[in-house]
Amino acid sequence: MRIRTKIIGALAGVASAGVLAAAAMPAQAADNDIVVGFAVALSGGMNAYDGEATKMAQLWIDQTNAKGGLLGRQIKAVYADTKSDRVEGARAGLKVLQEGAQLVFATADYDYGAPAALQAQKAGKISVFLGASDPKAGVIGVGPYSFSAEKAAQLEGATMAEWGYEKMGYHNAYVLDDTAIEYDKSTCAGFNWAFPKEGGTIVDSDTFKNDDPSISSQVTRIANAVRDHKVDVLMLCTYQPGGSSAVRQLRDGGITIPILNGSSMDGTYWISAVPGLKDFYVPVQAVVSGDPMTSVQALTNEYAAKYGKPPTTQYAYPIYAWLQLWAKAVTAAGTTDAKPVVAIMQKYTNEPTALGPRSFTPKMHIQTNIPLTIVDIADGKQTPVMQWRIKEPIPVAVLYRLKKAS
Amino acid sequence: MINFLQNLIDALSLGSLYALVALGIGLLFGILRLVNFAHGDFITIGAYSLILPSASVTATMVIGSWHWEALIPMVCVIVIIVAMATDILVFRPLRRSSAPTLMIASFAVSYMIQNGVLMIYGARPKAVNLWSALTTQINFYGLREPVLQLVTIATTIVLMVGLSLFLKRSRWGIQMRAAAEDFRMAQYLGVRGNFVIGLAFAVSGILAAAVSLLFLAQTGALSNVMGVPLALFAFVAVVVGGMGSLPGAVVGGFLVGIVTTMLQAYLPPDLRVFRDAFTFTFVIIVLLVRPAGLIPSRSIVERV
Repeated sequence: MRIRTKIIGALAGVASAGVLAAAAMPAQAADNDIVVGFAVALSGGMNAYDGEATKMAQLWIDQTNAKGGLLGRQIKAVYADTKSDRVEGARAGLKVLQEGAQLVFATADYDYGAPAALQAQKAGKISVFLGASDPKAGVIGVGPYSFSAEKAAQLEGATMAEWGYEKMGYHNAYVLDDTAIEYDKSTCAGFNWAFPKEGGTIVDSDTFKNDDPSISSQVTRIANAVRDHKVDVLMLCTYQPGGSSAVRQLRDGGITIPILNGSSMDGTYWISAVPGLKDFYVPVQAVVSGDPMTSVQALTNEYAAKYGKPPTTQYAYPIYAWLQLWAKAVTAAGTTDAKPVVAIMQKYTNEPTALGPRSFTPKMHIQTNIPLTIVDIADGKQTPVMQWRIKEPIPVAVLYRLKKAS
Repeated sequence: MINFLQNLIDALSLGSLYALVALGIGLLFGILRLVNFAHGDFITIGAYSLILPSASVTATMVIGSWHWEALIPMVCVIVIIVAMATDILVFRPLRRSSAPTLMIASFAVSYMIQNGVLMIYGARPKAVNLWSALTTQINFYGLREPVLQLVTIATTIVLMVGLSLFLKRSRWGIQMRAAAEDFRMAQYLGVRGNFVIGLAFAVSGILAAAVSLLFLAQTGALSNVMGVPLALFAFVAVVVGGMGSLPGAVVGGFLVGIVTTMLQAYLPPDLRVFRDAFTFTFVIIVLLVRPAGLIPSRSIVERV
């Protein structure tokens, strides 16, 4: 009797699950849309990074739908807020998948975005981080169907090192690394790999944490190094809000040598913290005002027309280029199924996009060798200096920081 | 030698900030047995009160562009209002609750302020330029001395002396000390409990406002959690100094500031990343030797 009850219970459970599944399925089948799911931070601290990239993706969706959609089908976006919380991230990923997402957008950071991306990988769907700079945000950290729209942080450091040595004539560098997050360590690792290779000397290095109330000891040490060892450039690896605080303290402390940083300090919204800032350079995928590429300028104008103002930083842009590549692969494959689409995307080498050439390999689903635009942030505005592409690929050991690069 | 002096002044400047925050936390603990984790968020509010409330990416100074003679009192008033409001809305209904309950409530206040700031001002950190004249440097026999550090140290001394005079000489100050000594007895003798506690919140508000301005002049950066690391280290300072003891809070604040700066300055490069671990090891050693803190408060000792 008891067993029978259990069996009936189990059967009822299966049946009801089936009914639920059936109820969920036709809704998508009926309207025939391609569903894409945003499991991103619509609120909370990470929204500073996700917000504009999500808007840029929406712009691409609108444009694509206006042109007749993809595979003759309209693209429909569904949303789930991660609230900038990693646990909520997994839930958000699951929610958009249940709503039929064929592609899942994850938060612009490996640690925060991975929970949602892992759900997509488990469900056999493609996921893309809106702007994670860690090569783990892809095949190694999530799985073969996961991508990042960004470039590896190491590329940012390496680009600044090569450009700084060759074009600006910097020879003696001091490295100041913000060890609060992995991104900064990776940026500095790229610099530490490339600068000595060029022939430059890293005189000394020091660390701080983003929320340190004061970096006065570091400033004192750098000031001494500038005086005694002819240090002519400071490689700073940091982000906001500690970044503007660090630059203010450095300049106030009398450190006037040029400062290089990764893309994280892009934008002009923070420079009121450092009045009269000059000689500050960052590498970016796209410049908000005055990008050398007309396709980027057009994109900025379209974004501004739709949302009333242009993006704040370069982090809005990369997802647009990635979506162009995804759409191209979907069109070629004739399906949104992950396996054939990923197989085609992995063959892309220097494939043209609105932001320039992009490449993927079966092992690397993030950009590790693309031309970046060096931007000079001075006098309250950004000015593109030139494009720079590193000469040789970054070794895997540097990309995954397998050994201490010094 | 010059280098050491330089580091010492850096250390005293950071220690001053910690001492001011520790005083604010220690004062409330002395009277209310409240470990106020929201104190750091009072600092955040002081800083954000300078700019126009909006989610726009660039900050527009409103109060921040006023002359300092008007700016300082205005920021103090705003932070005092917020501090006293948290007392009236949150802590007064919990007057008879235990210390852990009060502490959890302060966490809740902290969480609400942080997220409130996030909602109103947006997620992106903001930047402002407050009192850039203070960031000029004096060169004194090779010693690089930002005016701001001297102002920070001087402000701390003035506030400490002012607070101790207030507590020792004024009627309200004496009532506050009496309440800290034995709250029930003070009430029997005619001290109005809520008034004294409200006063303590107001004084801690003034201290938080002072820290927010000094800190912002140094960093120029605004974020919804900007006060948290300050409050965390100041809380450690309060424990090291002796819970409930105001001289202890000041000594603890300076000590933590000096230890952190000196470790950052003199640790070998590979170990600098673990600076905070060394700082906290030092704290543990101090507490092993003197479990009640460096300058224990007499009224608290019996309870420990």
